[in-house]
Amino acid sequence: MKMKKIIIYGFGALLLTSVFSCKKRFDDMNVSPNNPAEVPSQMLLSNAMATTAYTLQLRAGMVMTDLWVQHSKATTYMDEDKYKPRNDRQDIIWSSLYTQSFEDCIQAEKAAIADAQPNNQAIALVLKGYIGYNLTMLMGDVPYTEAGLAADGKITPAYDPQLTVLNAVLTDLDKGISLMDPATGFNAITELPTYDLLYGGDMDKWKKFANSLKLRIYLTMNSGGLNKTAEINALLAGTDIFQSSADEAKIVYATSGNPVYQWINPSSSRKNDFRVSSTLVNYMMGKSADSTLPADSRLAVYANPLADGKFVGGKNGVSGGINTNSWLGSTYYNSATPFYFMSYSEVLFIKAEMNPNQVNYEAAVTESFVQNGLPATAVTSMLADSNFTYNAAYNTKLIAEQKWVSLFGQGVEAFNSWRRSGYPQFTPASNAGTANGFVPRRISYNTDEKNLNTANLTVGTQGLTPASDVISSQVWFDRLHPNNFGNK
Amino acid sequence: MKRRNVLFTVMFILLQVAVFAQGRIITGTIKDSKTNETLPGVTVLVVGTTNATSTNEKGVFSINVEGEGKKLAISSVGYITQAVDANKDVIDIAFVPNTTLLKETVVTAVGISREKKSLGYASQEVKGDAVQGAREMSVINSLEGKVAGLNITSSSGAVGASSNITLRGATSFTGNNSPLFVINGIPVDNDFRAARTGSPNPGNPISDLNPDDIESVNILKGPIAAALYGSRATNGAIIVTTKSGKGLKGKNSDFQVTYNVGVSIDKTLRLPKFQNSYGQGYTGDDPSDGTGNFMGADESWGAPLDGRDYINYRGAPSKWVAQPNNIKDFFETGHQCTNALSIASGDDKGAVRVSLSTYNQKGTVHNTAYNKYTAGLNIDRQLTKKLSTEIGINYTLSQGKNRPGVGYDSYNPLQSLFGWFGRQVDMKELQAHFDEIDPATGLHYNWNPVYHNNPYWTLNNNINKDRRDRVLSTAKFNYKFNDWLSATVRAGSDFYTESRFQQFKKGTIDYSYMQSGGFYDDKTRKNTSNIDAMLTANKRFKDKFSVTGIFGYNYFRTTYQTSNTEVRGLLVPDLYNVSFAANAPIITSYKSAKEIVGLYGVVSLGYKDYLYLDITSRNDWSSTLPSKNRSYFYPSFSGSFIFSELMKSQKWLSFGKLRAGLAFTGNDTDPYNLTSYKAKGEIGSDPSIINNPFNGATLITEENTLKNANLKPESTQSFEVGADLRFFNSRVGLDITYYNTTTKNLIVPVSIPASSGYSSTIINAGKINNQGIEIMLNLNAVTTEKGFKWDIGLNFGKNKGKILEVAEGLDKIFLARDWADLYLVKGETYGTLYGNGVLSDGNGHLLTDADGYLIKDPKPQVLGNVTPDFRMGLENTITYKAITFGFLIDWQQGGKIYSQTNMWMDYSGLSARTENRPDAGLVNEGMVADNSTGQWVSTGVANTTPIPNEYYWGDRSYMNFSNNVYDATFVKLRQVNLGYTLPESFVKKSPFSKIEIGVYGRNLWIIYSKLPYMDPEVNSANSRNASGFESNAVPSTRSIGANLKIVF
Repeated sequence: MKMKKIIIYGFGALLLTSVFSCKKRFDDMNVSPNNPAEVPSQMLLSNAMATTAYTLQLRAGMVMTDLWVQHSKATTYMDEDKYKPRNDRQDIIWSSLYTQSFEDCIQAEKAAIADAQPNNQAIALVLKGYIGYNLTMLMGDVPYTEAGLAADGKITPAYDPQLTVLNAVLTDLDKGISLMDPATGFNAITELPTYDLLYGGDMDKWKKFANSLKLRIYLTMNSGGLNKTAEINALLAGTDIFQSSADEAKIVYATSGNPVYQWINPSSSRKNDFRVSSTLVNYMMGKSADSTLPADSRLAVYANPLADGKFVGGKNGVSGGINTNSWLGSTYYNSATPFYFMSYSEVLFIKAEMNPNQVNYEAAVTESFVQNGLPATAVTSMLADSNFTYNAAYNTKLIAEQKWVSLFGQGVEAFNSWRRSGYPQFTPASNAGTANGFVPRRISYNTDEKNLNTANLTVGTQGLTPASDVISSQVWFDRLHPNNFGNK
Repeated sequence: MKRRNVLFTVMFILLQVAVFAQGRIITGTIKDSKTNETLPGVTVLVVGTTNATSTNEKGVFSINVEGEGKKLAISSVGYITQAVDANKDVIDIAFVPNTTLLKETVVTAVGISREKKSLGYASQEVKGDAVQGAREMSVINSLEGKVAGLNITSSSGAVGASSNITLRGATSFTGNNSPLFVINGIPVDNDFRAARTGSPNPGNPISDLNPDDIESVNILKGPIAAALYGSRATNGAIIVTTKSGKGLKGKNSDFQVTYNVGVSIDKTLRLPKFQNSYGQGYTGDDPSDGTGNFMGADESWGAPLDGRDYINYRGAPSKWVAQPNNIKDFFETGHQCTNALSIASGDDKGAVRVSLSTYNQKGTVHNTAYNKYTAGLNIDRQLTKKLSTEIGINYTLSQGKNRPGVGYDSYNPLQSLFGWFGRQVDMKELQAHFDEIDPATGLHYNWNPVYHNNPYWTLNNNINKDRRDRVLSTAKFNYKFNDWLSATVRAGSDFYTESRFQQFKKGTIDYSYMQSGGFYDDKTRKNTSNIDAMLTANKRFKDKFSVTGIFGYNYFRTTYQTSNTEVRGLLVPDLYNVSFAANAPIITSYKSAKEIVGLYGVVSLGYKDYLYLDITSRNDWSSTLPSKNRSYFYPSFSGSFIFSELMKSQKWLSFGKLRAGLAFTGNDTDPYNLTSYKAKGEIGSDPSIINNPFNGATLITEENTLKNANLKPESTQSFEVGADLRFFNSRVGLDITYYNTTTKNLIVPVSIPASSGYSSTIINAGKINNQGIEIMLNLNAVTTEKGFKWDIGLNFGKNKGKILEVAEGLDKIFLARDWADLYLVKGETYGTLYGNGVLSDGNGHLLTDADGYLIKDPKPQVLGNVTPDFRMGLENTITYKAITFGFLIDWQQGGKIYSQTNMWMDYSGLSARTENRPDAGLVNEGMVADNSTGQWVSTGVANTTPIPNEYYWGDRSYMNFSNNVYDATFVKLRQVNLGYTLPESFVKKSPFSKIEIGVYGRNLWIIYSKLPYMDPEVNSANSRNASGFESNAVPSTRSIGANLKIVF
């Protein structure tokens, strides 16, 4: 009866070993061999930087606000250019900024605190502030103080009024600045400078970036009816802001081609999606009657001439023009062209805006030429064109228009600047859709958010004028303007 | 066998006919041996001939018998067939009812063989013959329309395409809703997965099975039947038993060789209708202006096809004329060819069966093919008086070539042909010149050089190949201690490796990052092991009580491993080797492991063969759950009462059984759902993807899913009652079941607001209820004296699934997206479509703006629910002597389908609907609205402003999805088959023991459908649980085939 024993003992052994020894075995088995649970903070920061650049440059920029500020126009897929932006095109801005950029800053801050890396924590705070600023400028009231905290139980974050967001961003910037220790730089050992895609670990520059960002926020508050002129002038007078183009915040795509290039380069299936807008071309042409020779030579960077050497823009909202309108500039959208989080010329334009005079104006314009790789001398002939010569009689308009030109490729900030100043005055796209016949003034809230965070979103919507989640509603800082502000 | 013998045989038969042409008449009366009542409709056959008759209403028959020594075979449903010597002129027969018929046994959960009448739950058996007659690539598709409650949705007419399978509706939100597949006691993997979005449909792993190996398929429809499988059988189980070589019939019952050959021709069943008046381009484009502007458009809003001269995409002078058949010309005639050989041998100590099969399919799309080769060995042996063993090993090699991509993706050549095309494009020219490169761009010439690839470029140059090597093995030992106690150990594994390779030749237009060539190389390995050990005790007391007790142990382990390589850019054209990648290859890998240990017990009590009670219980420990919630217990109770045993005097009732059951089952989750992880950052999508590492820095991001350390097992509670009734000598059979299943604590990945930092989290939430009715009606409608028989089988399944709870604070969760979104909505049945919509005034009028354009609703609108109301199959089998004719009608009622094909066809001006194009444009019907208050309000004035035709159709289709959402009801002639078994008298003298010839047609005719242009049954979603999408699928095919089966 050997067989019988084998069966009985075997059976018993099987039961005992497998049922009662499985706890540790099961616990170990259920640890993922595929992904880490923790990583050093700088790896998260680098993802936050790259995602922010991608989203602002491409998703919120080229395929959305670049069209609305009439830097470019669509040829085939007209939805955004006709002010009927597609849901998915709007949604991705919100979702990638929150779930990637913003959340990675939250996680990086946690990791930096745990690993005692105050500089990394500071970068996380400044980046988070930068992302929050862009979100509120695009949508209006948005979650900030409770955002990105699902792991702490905040599944449905409250929407902060825009002014609260702006103040909270200032607080984070100040906290970040106070944590910065330029002496140690981007902390050593595991914190390789490689991961700081903006400054390679130069904390001195991070400090200047954080302070320069405060200029944008104070300007916005001014536009919203507060008076922050003293704060702005105090910053402009000091040396804590960008002092030269070496300080400006930009991400340089080297091995990774910039996303705009990838989208529209001559071998992409999207290459014919966009052409340059006639609004921009006609403005930059100045008084020049020869459409091969614009008064403003930056146009040759922003746009490619047609085969006959002419620069021809297309009207926003009108489809077609693939072969008759100028391409967006191949120099500008070169694979390695950087994306500016904030440029030195913008700081100079803010200076000119606050203290309008010829010197400040020309300094800002000149810096924009330099930024585009043009010699400072090229600016002379442009300024000689009476359209562009400084004139105190219409300096507000001129400076704002020039700022708009200088922000080519930074559609979101150009859109912000237009809503603050009302210049340039745009003719709305033809056959325009749901923006009530005017240029849109914001983008809609994320579709999922409407379903999943309804109550808070409803409160957030109250911050809009009128209180309706549509692209024609005006956000807090824009609320004092008439709804045709900036329209012709 | 010598040729002379054949000749002799044939001559002998001819002689027989000549010599015994005369005979005599035998008459008789047939009565029931128990009741002594006369029996009408009993078949009387002269053995060895096709001469047959039936008794009349008085139970009397009369038949002409030729020759001496003949026997009469008497047969009828519900009676034991008997043979009597035809040696008298009058033969009265006492016909014995077949009680053993009701002794039918079926294989149930964990391989326990049970008497069917004792079961307290619904199950339905399909015999192997049913899947071997009219052939399908996969066994699964052969079950369509035959099983009440089984819902099969095929994904496309492409080679080797997969199907979505559910039993009694979906019990899980986003998890696997497919029933568990068990082959010879071993659970096997049937979870199909696409390697990449839009990539070719890989087919269901269950299609690896050779249909000729199947003895029977038993469908355990709900959790009560499948409770012993625990976690894995909440969705029911499909138990496949393969042929073993035991119980061979016919004259060579100790050694039998069976050969089956089948071929079929497949043609496209349905194609869209196109307009033929306007060519490629946008309004105003003139193809003859020499600019080639029209080619920038991939739509047909261009110039009228008036025959003007133009230069086409290849630079060839052409005429601007319609090519009405260009899409039709694209489809070819496909075919399928099957060879199956099996050798079986058996004696009283056991049996051996060896089988080999080949299956070769050529698709209706150019250069697509699917091949399957199987080899199987089954050994069944009594080793000693007490020890017996069964061993099975099965190898399958399945290979797909160029399976077309699925859905809206340029992998799928139909994306461009159906949705985006020029009506003047000559398909033959595309085919003849597919390989030509435009020197100006370095890309191949195509009718549209921007967005699409020439379909023949895709099919000839961007080839994909997949291969799966699969070994399914089982070993079972049974030891009988004595006449009431036995032990069984069964171990088995389902192991496969799979490779998928997709190349992109240099010169490809779309995907842009593959323009300089590249490839995907994906490898997967999956192993599922299962061990069962059980002790079974079986006792009968005083011939009244029977008790069966089973105690068992189960160990289950599944491991999965995959590595994916992507290369963008080749150093050497046409050399698809990672060593010669022009850029750093992108390599990712993933692996997972999961174990479940279970203990189970069964007690079955029987009283006097008419009262049965079953109690089962099982406890599982799963590695995927947190240790505090890892162990879960669930019992089931079921019973049956055969009341007909107590009312034997009621002759109209042949059999009557009532049954009821209640079960609780639990379910675990996937591995690694308890803690959040970091992932490599993936930024952007085609055509803008940020490299990672970025300038040397690896980008890491927090995963978008917030994990949950407190997950609990899902729990299902199911109740069912049913009756199995047979009347009038079992000529009418009715089986009816009502069930009600509620699953709660569903482990659900729910979307959460992105502002929380994550896009989803995993929680125990959700509650879903499914209740429904299944009816099976079998009717022997006609049985005549002449041997004519007509059987009707009707099966009906109606399932109403209701989402009772989604999650706290949520009223819906996301399921799938392919332009439209599929959500599970609280209070609705499974699967609600949402999509783009336009504003209306609430009184049935759409709103337009002052320019006459529709106004987009900023919120997605509800488009309808995809779940059908019921599914019904009607099977008819007509037998006349040796001829069998059958047909099967399949009817699905209700449910909505969103047809992307129809939508893009309108958008791009291809559909016949868009042919009317007035110069002034078309007017949107609706009311003009005003937005001065920030809200669109109707002015009450009807819109009269026309808009350009292409905007009219563009807005109508893309901005208002509801125009292309259709009722998915269909009635289909699923199958027609005609079979002929050569007469025994012929076969008897031949070396063969059986010869069957059959012809059949599958998927022959869409009798009714509301969806224009496409087959409503085809569902192109490439993700599990997603249905209600129709998107540029390869059209389903109509197959006509023939089969020859020879048994030696």
